[in-house]
This record gives sequence, C-alpha cells and structure tokens, in this order.
Amino acid sequence: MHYSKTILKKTKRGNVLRVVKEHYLRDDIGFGSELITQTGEYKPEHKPLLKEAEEYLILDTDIIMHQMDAIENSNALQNVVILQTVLDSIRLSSINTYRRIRKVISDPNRHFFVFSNEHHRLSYVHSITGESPFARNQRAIRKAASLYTNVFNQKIKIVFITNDLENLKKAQDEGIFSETIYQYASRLKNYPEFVDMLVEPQKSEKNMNIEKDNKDNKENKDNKENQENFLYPQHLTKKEIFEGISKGKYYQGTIHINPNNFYEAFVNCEGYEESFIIQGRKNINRAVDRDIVAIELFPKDQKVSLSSKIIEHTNEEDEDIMIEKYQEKEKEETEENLNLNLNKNQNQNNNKNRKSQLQSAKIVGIIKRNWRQYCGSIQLDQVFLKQGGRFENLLFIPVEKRIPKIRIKTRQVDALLNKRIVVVIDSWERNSRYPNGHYIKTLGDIGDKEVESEVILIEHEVPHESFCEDVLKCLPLEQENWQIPQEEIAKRKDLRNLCIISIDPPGCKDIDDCLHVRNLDNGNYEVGVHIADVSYFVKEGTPIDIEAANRSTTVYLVDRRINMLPPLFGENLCSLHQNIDRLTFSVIWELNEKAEIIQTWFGKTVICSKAALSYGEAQLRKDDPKMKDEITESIRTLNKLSKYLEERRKEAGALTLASPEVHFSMDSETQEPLDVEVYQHKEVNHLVEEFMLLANISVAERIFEYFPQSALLRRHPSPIKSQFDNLLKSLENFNLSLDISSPKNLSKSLDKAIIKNNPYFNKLLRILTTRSMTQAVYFASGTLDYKDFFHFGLAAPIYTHFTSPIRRYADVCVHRLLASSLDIEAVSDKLTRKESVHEICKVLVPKYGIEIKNQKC
Amino acid sequence: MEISEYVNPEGLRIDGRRRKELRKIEIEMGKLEQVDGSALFVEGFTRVMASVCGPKEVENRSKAVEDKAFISVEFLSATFSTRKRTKMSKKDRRVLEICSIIRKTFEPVLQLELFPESEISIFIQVLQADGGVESACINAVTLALIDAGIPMIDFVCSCTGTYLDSFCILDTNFIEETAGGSILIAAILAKSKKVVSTQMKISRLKMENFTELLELVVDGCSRIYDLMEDATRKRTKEQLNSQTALIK
Repeated sequence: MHYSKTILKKTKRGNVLRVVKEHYLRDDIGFGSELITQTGEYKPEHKPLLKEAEEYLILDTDIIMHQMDAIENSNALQNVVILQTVLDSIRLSSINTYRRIRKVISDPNRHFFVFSNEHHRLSYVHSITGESPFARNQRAIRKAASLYTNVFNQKIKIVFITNDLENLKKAQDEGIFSETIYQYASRLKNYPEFVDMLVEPQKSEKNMNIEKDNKDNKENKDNKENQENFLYPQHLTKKEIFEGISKGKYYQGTIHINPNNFYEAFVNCEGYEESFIIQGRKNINRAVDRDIVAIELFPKDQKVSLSSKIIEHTNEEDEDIMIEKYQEKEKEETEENLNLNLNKNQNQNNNKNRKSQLQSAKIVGIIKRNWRQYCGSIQLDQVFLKQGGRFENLLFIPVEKRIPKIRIKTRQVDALLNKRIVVVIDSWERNSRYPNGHYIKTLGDIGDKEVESEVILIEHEVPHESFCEDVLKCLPLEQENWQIPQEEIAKRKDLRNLCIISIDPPGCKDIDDCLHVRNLDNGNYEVGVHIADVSYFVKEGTPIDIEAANRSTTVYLVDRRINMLPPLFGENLCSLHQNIDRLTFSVIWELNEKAEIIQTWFGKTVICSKAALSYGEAQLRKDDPKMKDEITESIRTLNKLSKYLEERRKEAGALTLASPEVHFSMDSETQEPLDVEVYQHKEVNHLVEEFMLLANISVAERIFEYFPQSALLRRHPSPIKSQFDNLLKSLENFNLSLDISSPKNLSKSLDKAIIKNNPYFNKLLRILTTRSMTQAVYFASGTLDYKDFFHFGLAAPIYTHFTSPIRRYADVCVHRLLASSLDIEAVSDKLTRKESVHEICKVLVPKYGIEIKNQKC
Repeated sequence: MEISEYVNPEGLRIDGRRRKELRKIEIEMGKLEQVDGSALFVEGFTRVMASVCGPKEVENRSKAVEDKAFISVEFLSATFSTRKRTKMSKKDRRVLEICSIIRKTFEPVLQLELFPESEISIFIQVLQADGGVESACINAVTLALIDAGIPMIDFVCSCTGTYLDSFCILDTNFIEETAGGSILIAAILAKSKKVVSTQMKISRLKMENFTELLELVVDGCSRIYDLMEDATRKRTKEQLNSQTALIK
C-alpha cells in the first residue's frame, strides 16, 4: 500500500479554519474489467465492464448533470466508467442527480463501474497554485481517461464523452479518443429513441447570448423594439431576488396554477393567510405549477376577484384572441374596482364582495423549479416539418391541465402519434411561448386501461415499478412453504389455543389485525389485538425496508393495488389467514365491565386465527340468535365492550366525520369495474375500529414513555379558522353555524345542524367539514410540545399508527420502537434521534392528492 | 440531507482508506533527554508526545501512598492542535477525563507495589489532533513507560472505532469522529488480549453491532501492538549498541 498526503485548506462561515485532510493513494484499485488484472488488487472488487464490449465510455460531469434522463431511461449507454471526481462534483451540486446516477450504477444490467481515480496512485493530480477547482477536476478527468486509454491499449477502445468543447479539444490533444454526446448518439444504430432523450445542444450558449442581449437592452432602455421580440419579461437574478426579499419588496411562495383557468395562478406565501392572485400570461411569466417563485405585489388598491371563466389550452392563434379578450375583461374589472373605490359609501354587499377579492401580484423571478416528468400526448395538428432537419418539432399536451404545453423535438413522429408519452421540461426562454423539453419514454396507446392507470400513477408520483432483485433477495428462500422456526416460537407467547378472529372487508387479502376476547375469573375481560409482525420479516436497513420506506403506503386503485411489501409478505407470510400459525405483535388488555383498562400487556406472540370473517358474515352471526358458538359469542362480547369505548370517546368530543367511501363492484371474471356504490358501514365495522384505536393509543403512550424524543406519533392539528370561512358563510344562509373551537363543540354543533326533510344535508355538512380540516400528520415527539400532540378528530391526547404494518410504513417504525421498548430487539440510532425520525415523517406524508384507503384517522 | 458518505459504495472512506485500515503510524522513542522516558506516537495527522519521570520522590507529600507508587498525569493540548484555536485550562472537563482514563488504564498494568511511597509522573502533549486522540495518548504513554524502564506486566495498546452509517469503521479521523456515530475506544493488554478499558461516546448501539465493533477495534489494537513492539525492539537495540560502544 502506498501512502501520500495532500493538504487542503478551506474556509467556512467567515472564520478561517485551517482544515487539514489526509489523502491516501492506493495501488489496489482495479479497472473494473476482467481484461486487466493488477497485482495486489483488492479482492472483492467486482468487474461489471464486459470484456466482449467494443468500447468503454467515460462520461464527463456535464453529461451526467444535463443528460440524466437519457442515461436513466435508455440502455444505449453501457459499459460506462464513472470517475470519482465526476461523482463528487455531482454530489456537491445536486444530491438528486447523485441519487439517480447511483441507482443506475447499482443496476447490474447496465455495466456501470465507478473508478476511484482520486485514490489511484497513477491517476491522482495535484492542484496547481492559481488553478480553479473546476480546471483541476477536468484535468483529473482527462488524466484518468488517458490512464484508461494506456492501460487498455488497443484491447478495447476508450471513448471519452464530453459536451464541453474546450475540454474535448484538450482531451484530443492528449491522445484520448473523445466525442460529444451527439456525435456518439449519431453513431448508435440500435437505439433510435436515444437522440430524442438528449437535451438540445448549445442550450447554454443560447441562454448566454440572450442574457447578453438582455444586458444590452438594459443599457439602452429606449431600444424598445428589441424588447418586444420577447414574449415574457426577464427574470431577476437570484441575488436580486434575495436582496428584494430581505428588504420586503418581494415575497417568496409556491405557485399553484388554477386548473380551470390557465392564465390565473395563486401564490401561497408563508406567514400570510390569504394567497396572492396572479393573472395573465405575462404576469405568470413562465412559472410552472408548484415552482417556488418570487412575487412583487401590485399597488394595494388593485384587488381582483377570481374570474369565473374557464380557459384551457388552445391553439396559438386562438390563444392570442383569447388573451386579448381576457385583457379587455381585465380592464373592465379594474375599472369596476376603481368605481368601487370611488364609491366610498359602499353598502354591505359590496363589502362582502371585496372580501373575496385577493391582492394581485406578478412574478419577478423563479427561486426553485419543481419540474418533474409529465405524461401526455402529441398535439396532432401541430405536426410540421422543420426545413432541412430530420428532427420534427412537436407540441406535447400534458394530462395535467396546470402544466403548459411543451415543445419537443423528435425524429420518430410516427411512433409517437396517439401514444401516451412521458416528457420533461429542459428550459423556458423569453422568446418562446412554450417551454422546451425532451421525450423520455412511451407508455402505450391512448385510452388503453393499463396505460391510463400508469399515467395516473406517474402523475401522482407513486413509485410503482415491480420490486427489484435486491428486494426480492430479502424474501425467505422457502417462499410459500416458509415455516415458523421452532426457536422463534419458543421466544414468543403462544396464543395458538385462543379463539382469535379477524373481521375485514370481503375479499381482503392482506389481513393485518385479529382480535380475541375471553372472560376472566374475576369478572373482567381479557381483550387482545394481534397485529401481523412485519418487523420480524422486514429488518431495519435491508433493501426491502428502504423500498418500503420509499413507497410508504400501499396504494389502492380500482383494478389493482400498488403494494408496499412484496405480495409474498403482504398476502401470505404476514397476512393472518384462517387456521395458519402466524407471528404477531399483540396488545392485550384486562378490561372491566365498563371497558376501562385495568392493565395492558405488550409482546410478541404466535397465533392461529380461528376464523377470517368479512364484515357481512360477522354481522350476520351476531344478529342470528340461533348461533351460540365460541366465535359468535366473542363477537357479541367485543361488540358490547366497543359500545362503551365509543360512548366514552364521543363524550370526550370525538368527531363522527364522513368522507364518502365508495366501493367498486367488479366483474369476477374480467376484473372490469361494473358499478360504484357507497360503502355501507355496519355495526361490526365500528367494533373493529374501536379496538384498533384503543391499541394505537396504548402503543402511543408506551413508546412516548420510552422514547420521549423520538417516538413516531400522529397528530391532527386544530382546524384553521380561515379554511372554514367559505363553509361558514354558506351556512349562514341556512341560519346555522359551526363552533370549531374544540372537538367537543364542533361535534355538538354538527349534531344540531339538521334540516328537516333533507336527511342527506347533515352528512354533506360532515363531508365538507372533513374537507375543510387540516390533514393529520406524523411527527417525532421531540419536535413539539406535549399539548400539541392532540388528535383533534379522535379527541385523543396522543395517538399513533400501529395496526396496519402491511400497508403503512409508519406502523413498521412504531413496531420497531415498541419492540425496542420491550427489550426484544434494539433499534438503530435512526429511530432514536428526533432529527432522523422527523426526516422519516416527511417522507410518510401521503403523496399529493391520493386517496388512501382508511386514511381518515 | 446526507451530504457526505463516510464509506462510499466502492468501499473507500473519505481519505481513501478501506473500512478496516489503520492510518499511517510512526513511532519515535527516547528523543527527550531531560526525562526518564519519552515517546512520540504519530497516527495519521494525530501526533502525541508522552514523557515519563520516575519513579521518584513524591512532590506533594500528602498524596503519597504507603505501599505503592502514585501515578500523576498531566495533559496538555497545544492550542494549534485543532482546527479552531482553543485553549484548554487544566481543569477543563476533557482534560480531567483524559487524565483519569490514563491513570485508571495504567494502574493495574504497572507494578506499582515495587516502588512504595514514590511517584511516577506522566506528561502528555498533543501536538496535532485529528481523531483518536485518547487512543494515541494511551499508546504513547505505554511506549514512554517502556522507555523509562518501569516494570509493566504487558503492553497496553489502544484503538478507536466507530459505528457510522451502518458500517463499523476502524481508526477514526476527526471528520469520522464528529459525524455522530457511536464511538468506541478500547485498550487491550496485547499478549493476554484482555480488554483493560473501554469507553463509549454517544451510546445506543445494537448489541450485535457492539460486538462487531469491539472485535474490529481489538483487532486494530493488536495490529498497533506489532508496530509498537518493533519500535521497542529497535530502540532497545540502539541503546544496547550505544552502551557496548561506550564500554569499548
């Protein structure tokens, strides 16, 4: 082993610190190919580069930074060497790109190899005084490339790919075979789609030119003709924006485009209750939905009411007309406003009108783009040929109405027509009405059920790929025939002789909760809730755990389910089927006649469910007086106890809110949905729910006691008054009102709000109330005060999720914490530090706009 | 957001070492003439000088012990040893802690009962601190005691390890030590492989990880022992040579 040291100096936060770092150079780093073996090479080094390959590619930093989509989605690039210098600079500039490239590298089918050139004795370069870090890195990259060229001398061709023309020339001078990505793409025969995926060349130069132009323009302000060539005003630079924000001139917020009117948008700024309205294409100024933007307010008196018009994307010519009309309308409106202002003795009606008006503003700059991948299709009447080019310019219409059309280039038009495709935005220049983007992949035909389902999943950013190999490797080797090991049974409390039952919706495959009840000699009851022990199978930090954390929930669509865990676990080994021994995590209470808790026991158990009932079956058994078997008696006792629990909860002020749950009846053969019906709640539904709530609360108390800082809990914040404004206003018409100060008061006022002859009114009101409330959230106990732990909807001082580990990741974490509090299995420091639990909670937030089954509590 | 990877997927640490590799170690013994024994222990950029005086008469009479020698430890960290210039007072918690670690580690190893009512004083000076300072101190003191010729039952060797990002890492440098993992400092008796002292910082570690970490650190200690033994042999040979030269 060879040692050498360099000294690096670094300054941080104004204080000049002398940071000295060691840097070891090594002899044992391999080249990742079986063609070359070095003496003393480190043994476990794997060699992904194929020896049959024609050429090995070395990518420059800018290729990975800008062409990540192409690298990710096309198999065109194979046998690629990624240099450590490149990876390090990517990690510094974009953690997201870094994660994506790491994912590609770890894919064994892609044959990517990371060469640690910074620690290789032959490829390390010292920085020269006066040289910029960027220049030094480029030199390091070229040095590594030339090392590869020399080492593989004639055996295999080494191609260095860079889009930096200066670097390209230097590399060629040093005798490295180098190309730009476009030259390389044009040589490729087998991957026609690869070219489409590339971000357009010379983009940066173009931008530079425009910026230069702009600067010129600024200097000659009279030169108005030039100015008019641009469709949009210029964005301010980051520095100007931040200065403006600190001076209070600009505001920062997230933009939401009105889905019904493309020329209207709202910006929510932190610390302001009301959002600001932005109208007109020029004022929105190239901001795309969910970007973080800087806005400047128009003078205070320019308040605008929401336009009730619906404007969608139209063709370009029509659009201009629309805009004109729109501007006219705007003028009228402002005139109206002026009139209003003049008329100072306004009557009450006018006052009310003004209240619903919002402060208007315009966008002066973009702080952070939040572009993602968009699904959509090609606009048919826009197909026209560009002169002399083999590329065709097309317009892409996104499925999401909030997103503008995107201009893309392709040379495979025929293959794209009438297809659903995925596209990303690359840039949006001032002189272009639409943003420029590039094609990523084709999903399939428009209108196909499978394809459209996938569109829904992509649009909501649900990870839905099938489980990768690493994850599947975590499954037990025996697959379905897996048996509980004897030593595991010995460790647990054996409850297999108890009469344990499960009650679930019909056709439920992932049963994660079971119940039992038995009479004790002292007249009390023993009630147990048994939850599938997922944490026994899914160990912390394993690939399956990481994947589950990423998915965070199981997502239910009409015809399919996007599982959080592989089906072998979710539907088989963890699911508590009838008459099969299963591992569980149990909460067992001793309850008295009135269902008050005498004592609680937590622990790992092994059970054997005696009956897996559906809600309907359970209800029938309970109501049939002839049935007198053990199972039915259990249901009756549980039902009796649950009534007490429900009563006590209602007394404390728990809300009975309604969110309409629908149920699809499916054709049993074709799996086609036939009809939609409102889901009927039966008495036994409440039975199960009550005990699950009780279990969740008991567990929450326990983990909070043992992990006062890092317990993963769930809270439901008290509602915000302003969000109820609309509802309360409409209620005034019925002479009704709601008191939202506490759950109890809200619950009472909801009960009173009844209109005779309209039984549905109360239900509707409950639905609207649910919608107006803030969402319940996960949090780490150390981040808030105890009084803020309150769950408003359930009126519980402390609450967590414990009962559905098969379909919610939060429950898995809670299981681990509980196990650790019982000294069964320790948890890593990830779950014992409030900061890292806080991070986990952030990921667990249900993805935007997705209805998740049973998510109401 | 995880900005740094302490061990990258290629298996290299920030400074280019693999997980179980020690830093470069250099040992120099007997460079100071004014004291009875001295040693400089260099581990990467951590540099510790230890010197030993004694056994001698006890300076502060009240501290004398009737049946064995008394160990006094003085610890000094140069202001320029760390990134930020800090001056540690003699009563600083960290100074007192390190002194007590040294005393407790060496009390059972030194044959103190041979020198009743006398004092063995140990001075430690940290010239550069880049992680693993406590371990380097223990190693330097062992060597200085050997150089001073004080009878010991065995070598005491120490090493530091950490459990970070679900990896066990040996011989931490400053960056790895301040990364927030659980740090284990262990000192062993080299020949009998007995663990004399262990210390944990920022605890909470799974039992199985702790065992793995301890094994790794003990292995590191025995590798350090080999180097220390070599240095001792070299030093003894030098002394022998110079003495025979004198006699001639």
